[in-house]
Amino acid sequence: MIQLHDNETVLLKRRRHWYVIAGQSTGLVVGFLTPVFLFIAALAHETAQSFVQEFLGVILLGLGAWLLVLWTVFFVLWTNYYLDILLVTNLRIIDIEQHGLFARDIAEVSLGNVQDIKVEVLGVLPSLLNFGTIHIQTAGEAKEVVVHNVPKPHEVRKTISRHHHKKTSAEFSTHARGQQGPRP
Amino acid sequence: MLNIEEAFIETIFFILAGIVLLAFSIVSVVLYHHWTAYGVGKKQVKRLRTVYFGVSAVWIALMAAGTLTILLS
Repeated sequence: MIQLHDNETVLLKRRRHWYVIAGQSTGLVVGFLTPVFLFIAALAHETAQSFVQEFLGVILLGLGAWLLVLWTVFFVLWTNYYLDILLVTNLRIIDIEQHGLFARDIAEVSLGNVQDIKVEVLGVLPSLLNFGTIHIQTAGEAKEVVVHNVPKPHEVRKTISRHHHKKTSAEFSTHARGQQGPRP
Repeated sequence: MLNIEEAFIETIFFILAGIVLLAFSIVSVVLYHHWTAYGVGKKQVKRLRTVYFGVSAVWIALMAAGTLTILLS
């Protein structure tokens, strides 16, 4: 769980586009429907009926195990999707990437360190569904943070730019006031 | 009398079902840990738990029905 600082507020929160989880789940849906349809079809067919009657126990056991596997895999995918998140606060950008069940990668960039932001929306589907990749160039140790499949990426870029500008101009005016010294 | 080939297939299925149940238990513990530790809200964890374990129970019941059918035949 990410702990926010006292003066920190979340400006924007983005999960990966729903297309990601939908694409990953397609195979699971096919894998789910196929044996169920086969089982129902077999019950309607005479020769298959005797086979089903003979092996009913094994079929039920196998079907139950197969559906349990698919169900568990779906929840692993969903958890990965749900825990993959991009947070933009008034102080920093936090990109959390969940890779499988046992790998979690958290990249954090101070808004003041942002040097350049590039948005890539490549392909028909990303253009139609409005999602893409954001490249954030930084002055920090991690030179570039790349966030894939972000919905409405231009909106994210605008928010980061606006608050980066606010933060740097506030820092600049504080610095300039400090250099002027006390007024006579 | 029980056919040897049939008995072999059933044994294989019992072993596979055991492996699936073991894997399911381990993955469930890990998933539950992720939901509670990494910021899925309390209400949502409750809803997730109900859906995930509720539907899983249906598949496990199907497996149990299959096992009973094999054992009673």
